[in-house]
Amino acid sequence: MQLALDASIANLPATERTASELDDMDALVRTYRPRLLRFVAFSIGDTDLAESITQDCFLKAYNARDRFRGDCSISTWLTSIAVNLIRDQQRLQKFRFWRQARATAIDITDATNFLPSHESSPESRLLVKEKASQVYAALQNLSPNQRSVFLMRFFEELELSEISAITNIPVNTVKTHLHRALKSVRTQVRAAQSAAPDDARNPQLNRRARRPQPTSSHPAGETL
Amino acid sequence: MNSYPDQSLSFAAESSAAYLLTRDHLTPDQVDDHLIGDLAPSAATHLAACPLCADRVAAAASPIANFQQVSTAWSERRSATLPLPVPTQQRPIWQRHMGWATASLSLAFGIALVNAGHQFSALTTPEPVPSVSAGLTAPRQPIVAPQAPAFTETASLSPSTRASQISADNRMLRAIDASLNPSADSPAALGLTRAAISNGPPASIQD
Repeated sequence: MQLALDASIANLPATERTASELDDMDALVRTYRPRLLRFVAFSIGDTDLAESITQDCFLKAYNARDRFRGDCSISTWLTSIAVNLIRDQQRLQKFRFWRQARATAIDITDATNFLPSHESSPESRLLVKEKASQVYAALQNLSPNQRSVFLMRFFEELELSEISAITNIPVNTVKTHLHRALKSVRTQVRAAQSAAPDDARNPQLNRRARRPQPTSSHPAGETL
Repeated sequence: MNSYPDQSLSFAAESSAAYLLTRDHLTPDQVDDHLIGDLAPSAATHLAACPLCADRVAAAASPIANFQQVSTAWSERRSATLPLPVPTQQRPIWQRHMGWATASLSLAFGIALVNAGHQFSALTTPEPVPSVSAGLTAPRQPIVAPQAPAFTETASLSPSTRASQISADNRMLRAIDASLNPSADSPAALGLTRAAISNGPPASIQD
């Protein structure tokens, strides 16, 4: 496997170069593991595999820490390693005829139980759970490239240039992937919302719907 | 009365601004552009002034933000319950193959040692020469390999010492021959004569 460690991220703005952070494996894992695990897990949709890939990612980063030149942030560098590992895994999965049933797939409704309970009311928690489930279901229908780019932009909050450098895709193609992914997610979430009983599901949107409409016509009144 | 023109002017300005706001509402693609981070400056200006579009953008971002919140909580909880990976320090190639190299060398050394032992014993053991006469006349002696130190000891002796050693050996051999000589066991050698034999046993054993 070829890690895009050197040349591919040369155009990124220089950020922190923390050699001691890379040497301290415990600190590295403590700091970046949640984000990396989230990215890998929702990219491939398998919890056990995601943990394995995340560990591989940290080990590769630790072994290749001398090659990190500080052209990008450590988080971006780790993400680029993870993207390559995910790509390898997806390539490998194509040739596996004995693909397992998704026994270790992420249960998003179970994941919502991890939300801190003191931050919100039960109603808003239910709303969050509902919307998160809809987005997660929509993510499953995206292509691997669209999903990966979507997660990098909206979860990892990477810039378009960073995504372009990590994935070796031109910036315009990244934008295209993001537009298509957003459109697909929006369509599916809207369909899920319209299929659900409106009053019980989304009181916020219904309140907005009951509001007096502005006199000006809104050409694009669509929301997620 | 004088204030009418001003009022009409301000009313016109407000209506034109409202018209611009109405006309330049963000399209869904522009909302996506804003989420992606690639919104054009003119649209960004409109978004900053238009609460309706701001509301739409917030509504569009809300499910994604909720999903991000849930997934972050999940991954943090998941990471907190997992053991940390133990880093394996990658050793240099020569260290990585040191075990195999040592094992191979030990094996080669063992094989060489066994071969050398076999060759040494083959060199030092003389082949028994089949001799028909010897086989018929004398009982076959067991083959004893000469001791290597004896050769070296003999070779290291001085000529005078060697001569005295040879003479001592000869004396010893003569004594052995004498003791083994069957004539020494004859009655004459033991002091027994024919007459003495006919007269009966000697006095010493008559009792």
